[in-house]
Amino acid sequence: MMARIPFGYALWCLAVLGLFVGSIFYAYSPFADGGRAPAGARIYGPTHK
Amino acid sequence: MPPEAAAAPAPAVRALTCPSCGGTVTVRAAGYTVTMACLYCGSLLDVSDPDVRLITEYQQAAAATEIPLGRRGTLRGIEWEAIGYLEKSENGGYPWVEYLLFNPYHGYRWLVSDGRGWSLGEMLTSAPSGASTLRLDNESYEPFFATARAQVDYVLGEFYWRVAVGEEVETADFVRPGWMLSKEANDKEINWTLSELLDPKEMQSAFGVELPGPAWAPLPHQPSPYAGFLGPAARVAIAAALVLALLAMFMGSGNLVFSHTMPVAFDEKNFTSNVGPIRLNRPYQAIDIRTTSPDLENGWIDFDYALVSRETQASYEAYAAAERYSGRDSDGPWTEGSRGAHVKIASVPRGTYDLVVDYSGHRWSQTGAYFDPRWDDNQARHSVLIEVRQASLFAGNFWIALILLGLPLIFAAWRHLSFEKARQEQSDFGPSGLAAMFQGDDE
Repeated sequence: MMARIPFGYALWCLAVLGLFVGSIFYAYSPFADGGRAPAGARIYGPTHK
Repeated sequence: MPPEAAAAPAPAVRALTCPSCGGTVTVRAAGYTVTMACLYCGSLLDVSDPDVRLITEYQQAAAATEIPLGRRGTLRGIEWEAIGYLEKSENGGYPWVEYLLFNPYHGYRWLVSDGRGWSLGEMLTSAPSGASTLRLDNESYEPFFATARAQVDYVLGEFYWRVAVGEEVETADFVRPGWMLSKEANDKEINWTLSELLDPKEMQSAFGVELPGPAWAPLPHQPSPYAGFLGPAARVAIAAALVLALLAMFMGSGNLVFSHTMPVAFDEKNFTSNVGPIRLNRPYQAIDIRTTSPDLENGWIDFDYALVSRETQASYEAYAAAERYSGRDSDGPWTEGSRGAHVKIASVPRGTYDLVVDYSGHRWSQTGAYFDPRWDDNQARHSVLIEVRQASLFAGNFWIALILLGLPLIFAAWRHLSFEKARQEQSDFGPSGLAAMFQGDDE
């Protein structure tokens, strides 16, 4: 039973690495920037104190 | 010490009559057995006496033991017969049971259970070495239960010594995963027993006992079910993390595809600059756009980008702002923000593109104290350097992958520590190692 779990974990690692390679190939990221600036929503100026 | 059965003649089965109730009692290990309890009335008999002397008479029914005496079962490839039954406790607390097993060629063994599991014990012919931590056959045993008095509460069946209810011994226990080393001492002798934790299914198969239900805590010598996973999994995780780092190193490289300097004024005037052509040769790439405004101080520049394909007119848009402020207050000078701005657009397909940049510079002069005199002249012109890089790796993806690789390992490590904490908390010596770090969690 215990021997199967590291094997399952190894499969999990392979899946993660596969997704990582896929994200490199498609240059994809859920954190990519995009879209126009929301009009009037941004506040400028220092936040220092 | 138990007699060595293998070296002695095979014992004969002997029948005798109980002097208390007249019942016929069979001595299964005749020649070795010294005392036994009558199956019918529970009287304790001295069977070493040819006339079978009555030692103690118990007018109570024999206990309904989980393993009926006389039942045979095979453990570790050897067939054993349960011939004796003891109930023990520490002055009534922490009760446990012990069955004496017998095989004419292999001698005696003990089956011990406190209701949470079964252990098969063999009495040692030599004492372990060491003081606090004991060593036996190149294995270390950590102290678990400190010295205590254990007593016999109930006895049934045959034994190789004169056992009686109320008999007391001094006990101490030492453990390593899967094994327990137990000391029992009285005025005359010190006995050491090495017990191996048995698989409940093995006990069920051998003696037909029921599988134990959920236990309130692990057994003192129960190995963590996660320990066997953590070692191999850690090696897999390290290998996967190395592969991840190599992939990031060799596949995640980027290169500068365009660089351009644009004018800017900090008078809120809008500028538009067309940067290009930008030729992208990979099937898909991330576009990394960085700007640097060396003269920016106490102000900000808004950038609106539109990366437009010359072939399809598809547009990829993004927004960034560079803000930089500085001043002085009672704590001294301070700065905030950056003169640079950075955006990254994902999954841009191969092709030729123009980057249309709409931008405007602004001053921040809320109090006037931070006003930069250079900006007083609306005709002043400053510059913004824009650099466009072709890339494929997002740092966020790398960190997400690293976290996903480690999550199962962290979960297993947490479960392992919780198990070890629950196990070691029963010890008279308290948790040790990493488990001790979590000792105060529930307090």
